[in-house]
Amino acid sequence: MSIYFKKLISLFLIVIIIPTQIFAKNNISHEIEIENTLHIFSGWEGKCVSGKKWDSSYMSDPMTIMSYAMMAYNSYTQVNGTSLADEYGAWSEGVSEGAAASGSTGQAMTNASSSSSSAFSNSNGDFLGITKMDIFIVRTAMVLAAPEESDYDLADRLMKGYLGQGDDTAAQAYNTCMASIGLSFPNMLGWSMDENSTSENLKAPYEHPLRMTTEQLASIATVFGEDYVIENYMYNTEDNILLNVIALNGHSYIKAGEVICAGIKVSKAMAHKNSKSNSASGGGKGMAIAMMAVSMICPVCGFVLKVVMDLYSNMLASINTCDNEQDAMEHSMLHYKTHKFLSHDQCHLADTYCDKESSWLGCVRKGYDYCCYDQVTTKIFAEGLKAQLNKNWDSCVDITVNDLKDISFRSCREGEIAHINKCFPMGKYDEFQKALFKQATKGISIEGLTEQVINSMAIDTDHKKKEK
Amino acid sequence: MKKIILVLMCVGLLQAKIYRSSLAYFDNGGNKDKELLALLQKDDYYISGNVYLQDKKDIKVQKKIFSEPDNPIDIENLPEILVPQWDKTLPMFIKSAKVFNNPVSAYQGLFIINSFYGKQSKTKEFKELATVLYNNEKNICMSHIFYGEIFEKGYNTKVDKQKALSIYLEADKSMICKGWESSVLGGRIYKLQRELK
Repeated sequence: MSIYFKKLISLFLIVIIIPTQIFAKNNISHEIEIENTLHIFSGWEGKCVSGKKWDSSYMSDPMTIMSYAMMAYNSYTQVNGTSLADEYGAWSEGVSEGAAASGSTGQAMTNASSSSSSAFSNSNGDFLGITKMDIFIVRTAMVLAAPEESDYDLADRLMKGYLGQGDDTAAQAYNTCMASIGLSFPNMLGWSMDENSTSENLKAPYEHPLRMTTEQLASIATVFGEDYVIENYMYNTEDNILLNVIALNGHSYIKAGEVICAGIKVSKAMAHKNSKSNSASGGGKGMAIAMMAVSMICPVCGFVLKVVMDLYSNMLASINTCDNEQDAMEHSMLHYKTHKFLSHDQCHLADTYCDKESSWLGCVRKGYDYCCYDQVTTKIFAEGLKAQLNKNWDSCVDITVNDLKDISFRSCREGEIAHINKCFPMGKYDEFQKALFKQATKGISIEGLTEQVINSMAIDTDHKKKEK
Repeated sequence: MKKIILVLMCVGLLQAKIYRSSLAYFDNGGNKDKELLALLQKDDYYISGNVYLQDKKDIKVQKKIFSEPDNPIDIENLPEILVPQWDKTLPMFIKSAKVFNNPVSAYQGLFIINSFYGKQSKTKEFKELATVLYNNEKNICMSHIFYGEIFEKGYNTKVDKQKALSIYLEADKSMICKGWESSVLGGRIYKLQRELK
């Protein structure tokens, strides 16, 4: 058996080491030195964690802080008899005064690079660019106006009706509205297939002002972000009821049209339904709806619930990147790779430590460092060699060709210690044989080997990036 | 007692003749007067149009769907879309509007042209239907918007922006437009006022 094992190891060395040495000899002048220090059976450092998320970075995010401040303020004003509606009014008046003060000079457009919109800016100079402050107050309040289940149902009906299915009044109203502003189904079809066969509104949206409330405009920001609104819309106002808004391109015109025709909540529900990312997260949506519903009934409760939910999802929720693929994927590429290699038994646990510590709760998240290898056999061989060389697991790349001079491939006998008696640990000896036979029975295809090579190259690349 | 039952039956019969797809006309301000309800019972074109609209036996199958240029949708993998038989329905509503001056048919026909054919491809029909609707029912906001659009865009007639504006302003004054209707109307008034300055 021992002879057979030696033959296997020889074969292994021929496959792994000799080509490496030939490569080294052919390419580098200092061949002897390099040969001696050449790292073989190299692994890479894998990581995974298990415990609570305990990520407090969201608390230092300025947007989170401001969002909390606005929610707290909203709760306060609701309790004390005033509401954010008053703030909208004040904001709207402010906008109106600003527009009057600026007269016909206007502000420079954010995306002046667009030739069509620049042309519009020249001939319609009284439209103003939107600033972050303009939409901040309303946008924050809009977070409270999240769609409810009924809004999602209505969104379904409207979307079906838009395509010609269903004939209820709401669907007809939505279609009529959309068509009246150049966004009928044929208009959209023409716009997506051939820009020339669509409506004038979609060809030159900046020439077709839309009348919107400040809330409607801000609601677009809650779905697509403030920057989207700032870069894609301009406005002016002649009364305190509605803004005259121009969209600078077809896409932003459609989004504004949807808000006008479907309403704030239903258009948000539509956006959610259209969003690929939301298709797989039904639970998240349900939770969001529940939270917003509470906020509307009781702003203070909504604020508290929001804080609690944020705390839970960022701090107290469990995470296990070692065993849970989803957690690993969301955490980082390194954790995902570690998870993948762990699931194929290609990693050796090198260290366990406390990754996150709370002064009250003690260690809330454990971290695990691994040395991972691109083959199970390599891992077992490295484990056996390290034991014989009496090397610890501080490094995954500390076995050199030079070390092989002192290596014995004799299996340890009962009572023998690998590094003292210079033998191959008995357990590893058996494990190695089993792994080799397992691979032999499975049949190692060239595709499998190529994949392993690619995997190990990808890991190296990642490590280099990390080092930079 | 018999009289009451008879009246109730008549009312039920009258209400039964208002098709589901016609409800939007009344929901959006259309007057439910006796003459109109009586017309809806005897107008065979109106009835045929609505029957075609609800007939699911011969519904067409379309695979077309819009996709935004920057977010293309894989059309081939989309589920089939079932749509009513617009080709059979629309001529019925047009005839009903022409022969019986039926504003409900005009409203429904305009809805079909507006939403599913595209106004540019049926300007003649759009003008005919919008005129019938406007002449018979001014309490519906869309009747002003459809009719004003004929002159604003020049559908089968000369462009007359001043006239279009006056039609829109008429609706604005009478305050019949609510919600999204007032947004659409306001947008058109604002645009025309700027252009006519």
